[in-house]
Amino acid sequence: MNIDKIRNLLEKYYEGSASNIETDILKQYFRDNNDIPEDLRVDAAIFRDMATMKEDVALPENLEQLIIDSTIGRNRRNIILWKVIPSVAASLALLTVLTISFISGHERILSSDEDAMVAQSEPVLVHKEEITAAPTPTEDCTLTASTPEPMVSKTATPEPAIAQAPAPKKSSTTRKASENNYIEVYDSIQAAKISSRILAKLESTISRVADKGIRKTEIAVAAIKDPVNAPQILDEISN
Amino acid sequence: MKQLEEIFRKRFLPVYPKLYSIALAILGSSTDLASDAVQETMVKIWSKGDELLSVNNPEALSIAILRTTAIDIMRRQRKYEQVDTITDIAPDSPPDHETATILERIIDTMPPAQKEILRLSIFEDLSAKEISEITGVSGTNVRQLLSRGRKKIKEIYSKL
Repeated sequence: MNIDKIRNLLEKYYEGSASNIETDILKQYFRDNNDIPEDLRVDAAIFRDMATMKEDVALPENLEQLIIDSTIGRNRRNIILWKVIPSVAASLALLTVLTISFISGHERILSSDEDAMVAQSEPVLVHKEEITAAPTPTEDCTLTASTPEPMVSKTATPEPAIAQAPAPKKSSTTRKASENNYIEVYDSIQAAKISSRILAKLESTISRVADKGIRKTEIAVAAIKDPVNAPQILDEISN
Repeated sequence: MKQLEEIFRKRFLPVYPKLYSIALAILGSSTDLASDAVQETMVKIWSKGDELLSVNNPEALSIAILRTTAIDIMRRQRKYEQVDTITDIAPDSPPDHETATILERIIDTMPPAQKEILRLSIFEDLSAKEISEITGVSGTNVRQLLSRGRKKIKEIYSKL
């Protein structure tokens, strides 16, 4: 390479008018030659440092990945998200419903268990009168000769039927209901006793009433059959 | 979408190393800022969507977007001056970083426009015309900035 040509190219270079090809010739000259004229030593140092500076420019290792992540990757993520979100939402909804169903079912089971366990303490509403008084016997049939009526039974003034029935115990398991006519009995044994007593009294009362009714019916039938003697027959009833 | 991805991968993604060098030239050797500029540029390119399918010169488009992006970043950094402003080379001042070569330290002391043009010349081996196209500075001004910068470098090297 003619050194004068190099000097001319350097002049163009420092004027900013050298082409790429001319600049490349200068770079190659300073790179390949160790025997540099004294007046070109500074230029040689500059070109050498420019080459080093260029080599020092290293691309960040993760830059390409960052670019992909923020462009194509993001798009894919969005697509994936739009595909996944409805499925996740549906799954969550289903899970929520199942959970709620399970919890309420569990509560129901617990509640039944509790019912079974606390059956003894389940309050039984018992009318005071059912405990303290027996059902009243029906009003006696009144028969007249002209208008014989069938036996009519209606509730009248209560008559103590189970006078001996014990008053409900006032224990911790017994409390008064809002209405004074009823008492809540929590003790199932006590409630069963009361119930059986009530049934027994009802049975005996019905039996007594039935006997009386049968007897009166027989008299009434007799009076109807013998209208002439009917007054005497009816007197017999009143007696 | 697949076609767009393919176009982006094949025609635009390979440009990023050059964009990085240009970003470094514009932003003054800040690798973080240069990375941000390149990444932001690529996102802007990708957001053009189907327009990319009809782009004839991906590199030219990418460089144009990078330039505006880098300038925005520079403005955000409040370090940018008008590209067309031709200022004298800054007086000899201490270099910003000790590990840089003498050449880098000299360039770092120059005004941003001059620094950018010199860096584009060194890193990318661009001609005055190409630098003019990238920076938007007229060809004459590019040659003037290159000339003053190179002479200043030689002046400092001569004193070493």
